[in-house]
Formats: sequence, structure tokens, C-alpha cells
Amino acid sequence: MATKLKISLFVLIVFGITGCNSNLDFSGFLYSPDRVDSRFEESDAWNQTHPFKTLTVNSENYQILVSGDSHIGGLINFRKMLDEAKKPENLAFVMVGDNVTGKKEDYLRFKNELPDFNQIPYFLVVGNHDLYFDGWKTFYEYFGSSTYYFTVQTPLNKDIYICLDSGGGTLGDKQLTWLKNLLSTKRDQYRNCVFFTHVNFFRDHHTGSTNPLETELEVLLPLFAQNRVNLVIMGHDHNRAIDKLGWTTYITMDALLDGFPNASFVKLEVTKTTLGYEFQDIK
Amino acid sequence: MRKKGNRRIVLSKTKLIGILFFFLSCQNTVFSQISLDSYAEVGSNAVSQGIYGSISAQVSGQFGSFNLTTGGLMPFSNEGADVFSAYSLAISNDIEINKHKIDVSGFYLWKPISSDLRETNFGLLAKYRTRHFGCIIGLNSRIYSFSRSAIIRYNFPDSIHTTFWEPFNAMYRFSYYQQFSPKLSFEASITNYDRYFIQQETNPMILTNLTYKYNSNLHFYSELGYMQAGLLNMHVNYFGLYLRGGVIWRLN
Repeated sequence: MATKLKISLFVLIVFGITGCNSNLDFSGFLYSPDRVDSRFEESDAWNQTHPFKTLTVNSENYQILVSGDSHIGGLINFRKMLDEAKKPENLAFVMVGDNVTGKKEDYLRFKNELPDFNQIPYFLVVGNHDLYFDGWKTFYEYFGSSTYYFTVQTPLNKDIYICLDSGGGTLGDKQLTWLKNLLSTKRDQYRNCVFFTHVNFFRDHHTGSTNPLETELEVLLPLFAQNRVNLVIMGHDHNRAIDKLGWTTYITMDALLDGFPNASFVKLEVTKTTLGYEFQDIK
Repeated sequence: MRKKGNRRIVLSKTKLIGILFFFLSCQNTVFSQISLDSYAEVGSNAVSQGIYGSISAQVSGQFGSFNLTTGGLMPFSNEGADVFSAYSLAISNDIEINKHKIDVSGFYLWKPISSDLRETNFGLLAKYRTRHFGCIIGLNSRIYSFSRSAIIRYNFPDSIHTTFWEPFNAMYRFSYYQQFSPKLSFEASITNYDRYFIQQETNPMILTNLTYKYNSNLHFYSELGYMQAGLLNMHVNYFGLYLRGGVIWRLN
């Protein structure tokens, strides 16, 4: 009898919590329908038939907008960022994950809002919320790969931008192997090397959100230092932080989420000799 | 605990053996109740790129009411076979609060995570246990830094930060103990740290231990660690597994 009561109480609590926030998928505590290695395999297959993109600019100066954690449903802040991104001085925009709630209807809403790629190129990173409610299937159906890179060719230089899938809290064995190979074969060919990924590496404050395991950081930090990675831009934590180690600056962005008091995005400014960034508050 | 690659020798085996012999030579003078704890570990995880192996040796001694433990970890499965990949030092003492004995310890853990980068941890832990349950809670602080030789080699300008500090991280271990017989005991824990690594507080893992007491001075044990990523992201992903076999030898 007591056991039955305990089970009933547990079920009530679980349903109570899930009922409080219908945008969370609590099944992920116990089981994930997709794993990072299988997502990487699908992404790799996509990459075989969809070559990595090169954006060409006729100036040494260009800008890329970067946002994170828009959690669509709500579209207010996303539209404001989009209006900014469409201005002619911007080359592209990148969204570093938790773009939607993971629900199919929100994916559709998001897809319908996105501009034509030829009008303003965009690059999406997958976050944990994008994977909720079996969201990977929809992400892959609509947008394809979650592990890829794109390059920018200026008259004199080339820059590489690498997008990684850390939605499951780890890059996984296969993606890490791909990354190591990419850096060892390509890094020297590019002036700037910038990473976009969802889960923030460092704990700048006490928080319940998860980082990549320390065991993984002990591999990634030396890898980024060794390859003189310039910037790593992340989201997930919803709190702006700028951490520096060696040549690498690690930026954790504010959320773009509607109603978020410090909502902002980042303007990446590239010149012939500098790679700068500036936070742009949403008003 | 992991396989490392392309690492320079930063602290030789000779130094480690020297530390151990220092303890052993002090056995009858400064320290009492010297014990040696050594294990071999094999495992695989998302960053090991295959199966790795490592060996650990730790020596403990009683110094008055304090217990001092020091030791090191060496990988034996790759090109860094003669590299000392972690060093730990801990000092502990029992205190009594409301007739409950609490073991309080301070520790230092140093890891050369690459030829250029070092990770330094230090922190405090408090341990309390009953017959079947145990709890360890504490805090650690972590510093990543470039080695002196790397700073000189790269000739970093002053504008470059060569260290990064994560001020606080919670540490915990919640354990269940079961004595199967006078010689055989079992422990299962949920924790975010082990002997040579400390995960972030949001990355719990499962650790089990089975100990066979051959006699009062010689214990054999095996440990199994299961690691996962993304639990509090609500998107769990298997990360890694390791298995240990070890021996604890009390010298007096």
C-alpha cells in the first residue's frame, strides 16, 4: 500500500512538473531517441551530398550576426534580430542552438520565418531543446547537417567557421575525430578560425545547466589552444560571459528568448587585421 | 584517467617513485599506518578514441591525527606511457560534531592536460557515513593555465590571458554500503568526482566498488565507473565506462 502511494506521488510530481512547463521533454532524463554519434553519422552523410559553403565578399571587412537560445515559439526577438541581419552590411547570421522548443509546429513556424538563403545566408547549430520531442528528425528534415563548416573568402584572406553539435552535452567520439582531422588538415589554410556550438564550456556562475564533461574539456581546450582558435561562441546558459585562455576567446551569449530581460545577439566584425565582437541589446 | 596524446614528460616516474620511497622511509619515524593503494584501469570514453589504460599508485600515512595521501596516475596504453598524467595530495582529519564523526579533508590535484596546458584543482571535502549510507560534500576550484615553457615559447603579449579560473564547483558523493560477509563488501555511489578527475556538479556519474578483504593488511578491490553527458540538459548521452582492479596493502 505504502509503495503504491509512493508511486502515485512520484507520478503526480512528474506530471505536475511537466504540466508546469509543456516545452520541456523530461523523458530525456532517462532516454534519448538520438545519440550524438548517430546524429553525426547522419550529418556526415548529408555533408557528402551537400558541399560546405563558401561565402565570397569583395572587401576585407565583413560582419556576421550570431544569436542563441531563441526558443521559438515566440517570434518577437527573433524577428528583430532578423531585421538587423538583413541589412546590407551583414554577410550572414548564425544561431547557436535552442532555436526552437523542439516541437514540430515550432520548427515549422521557425522555418517559415527564415529568409531565402540567397537573400541572407544562415547557419544553424543544434541545441538540447531542438532535440526535445524527438526534434532531431525535424531538424534534419528541414535543415540537414548539425556538424559542418563554412568559409568566407575575402580578396586577400580566408576564414573558417565550424559548427559543432553539442546538444547532448558531448561532441562524441565520431564528431571529435572529424574535428581533429579537420583542424589538422585545414587550419593552416585559414586566417581566422571560429567555432559555434551550443553548450557553454565554462561555469561562470552557479547554474543547473550542464557543460561538456571536464574529461572532454581536457581534450578540447588543448586542441583549441594548439590550433590557435580565435573564437568559440556558445549559448545554453542564457547569461553573457566572456572568458579568455591563450589566443581563444570563449563567448557565452545571452538568450534571444522573448521576454528575456537581457536579450541580445552578437555582431562579429572582421577586418583585415582584427576579429572583434559587439553585443547588441534587443530593445 | 584518460588516454592523453602528444604530451611532454613533465614529472618523471623517478620523482613519483621518490615520493613513494620518502613515505616508506619515514614509516618508523614520522608516519605510522602506512598503506599503499595501487590499481590498474582500462576504459573507453568519447574522447579516448579507443580503449585506454592507466595505472595509479597512492601512498597514505598517519601523521599524528592527520592522514596524508599522495599519489599519481600514469597511462600505459599509448605513446605517453612514461608520462605522469596526474598528481594528487590530500590531508584529512576527523572532527566531531554532536557526537558524529566527520572526516574533513583538503586536497590538491594537478594535471598536465597537454604539453602546453595545466589543470590545477584544490578544494575541501567533508565525509560522513553510517553503516549503510555515506555522504561526501565539498567544493573545488579549478585553474587552467599555460605552462611556463609554453608562455616563453609562444612569447604571449601582455594582452593574452594565460590562466583561466573557475572559482567554485560543488563536489558530492552519495553512497550505499552493503557488507555481504566479513570479507566482502560493496559500495554504489552517485558522484561527480573520482581520484584523478572532478566533473562539473551537473555531470553526475555512477561508481561501484567491490572489496575483498584477504586479511587485515591486504585488500583487493574492483571498481566500475559509468559516465554520461547531458543529464541536466534532459538529453542523456552515454559518455564512457571504466573498470579498475586494485590492491590496498597496509604495511604496518
